[in-house]
Amino acid sequence: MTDIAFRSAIALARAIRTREISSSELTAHYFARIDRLNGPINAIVAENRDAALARAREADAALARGDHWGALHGVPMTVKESYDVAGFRTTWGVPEFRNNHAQSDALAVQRLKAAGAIVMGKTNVPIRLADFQSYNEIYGTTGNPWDKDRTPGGSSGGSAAALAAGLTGFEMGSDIGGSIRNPAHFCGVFGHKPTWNLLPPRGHALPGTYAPPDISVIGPLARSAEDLALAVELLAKPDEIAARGLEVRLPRLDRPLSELSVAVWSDDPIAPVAEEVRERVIRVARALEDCGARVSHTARPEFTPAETHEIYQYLLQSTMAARLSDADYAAAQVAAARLAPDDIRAGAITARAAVLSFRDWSRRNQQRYRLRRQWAAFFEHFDVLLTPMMATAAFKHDHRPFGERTIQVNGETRSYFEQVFWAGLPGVAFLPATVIPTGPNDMGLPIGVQVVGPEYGDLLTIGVAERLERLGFAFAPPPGC
Amino acid sequence: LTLLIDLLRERAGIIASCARGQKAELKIAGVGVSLRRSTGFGGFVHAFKSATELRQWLRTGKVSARDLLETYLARIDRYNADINAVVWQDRETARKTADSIARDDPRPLAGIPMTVKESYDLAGAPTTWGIPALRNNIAQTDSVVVARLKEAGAVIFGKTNVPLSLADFQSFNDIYGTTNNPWNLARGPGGSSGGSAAALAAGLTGLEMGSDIGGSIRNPAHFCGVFGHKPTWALIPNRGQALPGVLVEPDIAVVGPLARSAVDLDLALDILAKSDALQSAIRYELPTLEGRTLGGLRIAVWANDDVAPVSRDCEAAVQAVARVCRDAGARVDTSARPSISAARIREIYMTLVSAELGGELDDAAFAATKAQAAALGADADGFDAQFLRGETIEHHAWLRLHNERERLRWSWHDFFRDWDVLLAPVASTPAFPHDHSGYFERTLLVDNSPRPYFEQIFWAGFVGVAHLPSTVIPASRSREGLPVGVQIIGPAYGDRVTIGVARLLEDAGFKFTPPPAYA
Repeated sequence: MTDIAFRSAIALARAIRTREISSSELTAHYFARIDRLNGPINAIVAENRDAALARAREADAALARGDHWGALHGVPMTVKESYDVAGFRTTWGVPEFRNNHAQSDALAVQRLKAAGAIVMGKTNVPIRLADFQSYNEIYGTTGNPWDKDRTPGGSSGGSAAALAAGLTGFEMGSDIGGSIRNPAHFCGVFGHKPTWNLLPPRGHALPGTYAPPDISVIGPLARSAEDLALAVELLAKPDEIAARGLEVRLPRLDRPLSELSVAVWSDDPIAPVAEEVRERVIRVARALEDCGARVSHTARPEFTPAETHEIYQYLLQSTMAARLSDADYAAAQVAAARLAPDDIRAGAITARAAVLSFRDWSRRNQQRYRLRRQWAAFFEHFDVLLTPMMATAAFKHDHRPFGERTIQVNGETRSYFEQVFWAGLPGVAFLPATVIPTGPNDMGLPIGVQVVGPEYGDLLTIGVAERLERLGFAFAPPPGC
Repeated sequence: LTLLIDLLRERAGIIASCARGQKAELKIAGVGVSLRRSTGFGGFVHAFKSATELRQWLRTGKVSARDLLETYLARIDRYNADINAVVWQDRETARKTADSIARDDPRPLAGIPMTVKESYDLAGAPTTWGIPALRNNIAQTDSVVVARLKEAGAVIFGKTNVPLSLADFQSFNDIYGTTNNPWNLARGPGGSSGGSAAALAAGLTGLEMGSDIGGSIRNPAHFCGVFGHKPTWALIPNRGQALPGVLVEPDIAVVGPLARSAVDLDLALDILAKSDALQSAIRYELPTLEGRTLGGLRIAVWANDDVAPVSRDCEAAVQAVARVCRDAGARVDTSARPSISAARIREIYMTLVSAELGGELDDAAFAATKAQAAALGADADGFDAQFLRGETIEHHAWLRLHNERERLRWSWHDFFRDWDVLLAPVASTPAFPHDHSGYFERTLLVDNSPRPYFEQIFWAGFVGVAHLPSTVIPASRSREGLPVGVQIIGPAYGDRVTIGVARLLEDAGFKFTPPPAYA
């Protein structure tokens, strides 16, 4: 029988509520598994065992009194290192923030705790959350539970690896270029990148940052799509400023699969994907088609892939540049000034984007708005769009400088960052995207598929993921865990 | 009794309209009511009613939509030449629309004749922002606001004047000329929604929509003695109140109503405070005063500041409003301030607003501005220097200020835990004489002390940069007899609270009165 550690967060909450297991027992069970399995995986990089166990005992005592804290009552969970949690440090893997101890909880953490969750630790990230891998000088390298020589993805690599290895009940990550979605894909779990700014990110920040960064979002990772829906319900509420005057009412998926219209974008020359990745997108589409859904493999929004990718590159790099120090920024200015005007290589765009004037940024922002309108028109005809998440399944650890890295796609050597196209496609336009597992490949490595929806269609993409989960696109534990 | 007085006024209006150019006195035997009106041909008293009252008149059949429209058109024929507030009209379409409005039309603005600021797209009308190169830019579709007003039954018959690019506290441009203040034609009506406020004050329109990035709704309301509301940022979709090709909600800038009564501001919000199509999942549930009266309020007062000194008239108006609140039993505090200094707030605002304006520059203008900014001395910190640097700021530097603005928003959030509203001046002085010299050559006399013209933008900017709502009420008259307004500022999404306080103060006597020459 499968270990209880692999159940969904909702199933764990039910097990606690029905006294199948106590919160204390479950929390201790996860700590025992961490002791046994976390070493080579190194997903969980900070813990507060005593406090977590004490809180779990309080949860049990509360339940015994008939006091129910909320939907996650007594469920042990971890969060990405980048969230502020009182009692832990927040470093983003940056050595200079080694001693940055959080004084308070991020808003999302407050809300999860208020729903009864026991936050027992934090999970690993790449430096400044900027990689498809998760290693840094403070915490070391996280391995993929399916093959420890490979990366779990990034930047929420610790989140996905901890879930896949059954070391935690639930996880919260963040995503500006696939950072929730590519680890979900690499580790065979579910992940949801919400509509931009739907989940207030306050407290998911380095010291001094108050403004929600462009494109960037926080969102859940889990072993079941139902947990993603729960996280959205708990967290898709405005922050205290906006809560004075607005609320969000997300549409739900209230139709059978037979009434859905599904668009499929399984590959593209701008960022080619491995044949096995493309085949999984087709496989999911066929499952929906078999249920009666209308499926189009040719429908595309009105813009070209090159347009959306260029807009994304400019907006992404210019928001990432906010994380640069003054010295690094000055160096970036010098590098950009040296470029020939006709140099349109990816690296040149990156360099220019980092030092955009506000006026030029505004123009890109206008272009992004046009993309949003074009997506809205597209989603008048389709409920969701299926796409790949990354070019390949998890690749082997590669700690060379960014510029030297490449990946192998269908026997060809390709640029490491090219594949960010699939993350940026919904990301730049603020769209929600849910990644579902479709099972391991021939080498035993998971492959995920991305389900994209219209702005604020979060419960639609998660709804489709839930239906697909019931059709068999479900989490399965990696061998040896 | 109200009904009777209305009836009498209506009668007086009809008589007045017959007795053109004379003073009509109407005495009703046995009632003892006497109405004295200075009357021109267009001296219909209902021209100065609020849109809410006009709706009541329409609904009860006291006046038809067509007659109401004709009232304003007749007054425009008579008075607009003086004031030049209404700069474009489509009378025939408006007449057809008015004729189609049935008396029992339930829509909230059914039959209300109104105008909008020139900067809104109104299908078939030019949208130029006073820029000569856009003289032939005829809108193909309605802005979101215009579409919603039309859907609510409004009869939009014209557009009102603006300054070039909506960037001034006056309203003149090469396309439409200069708008004058109905209280004193030698003075400006304010800007950039100067035509909006002047048209309302002179009784040339029933309701108005303006826009505001640096006081452009509030300063004309103050100068012309009408009500104006700058909403919480993005509460009312800006889309279509834009230059060609601009789709994004511009930072700080908002669209909002101007009116002759605070009640109309609430009415406008009923119709307009809904998210745009892309954000249809967002529903506004704006907090209200929930029946609280002035006596139950906590009111902070910021009547003057060294960072942008205001005249005695403007400071006194704030104090007069504060006194009425205190007398009513409100808790009033004159020392409460946000946790970030006024000087720093001004710098954040000036840079972010200049950056937003710089976004509109074409390549040549941007390059020229950048060269000018580079030529500035490191210690240059005048308004011209701030503008030049802001217009050409790097996105990297903008992000840092944006982040600081976010901290400021949280600081205001804390501030408004302790206070329901904050009272402040709108500008440094009441309406000033027309001044068409170069922006940075202008000075303003503040109680005889010359000050930089743009210094006063602080009072609009500290509110706008933090995305806060602010309602302006007509509060008093200057020593020269000009209107003086006061801002009622609230927390983000506290729009119904600031308008609610404006309504209480209107009931307490801070009302619109028509300028004598056009009453």
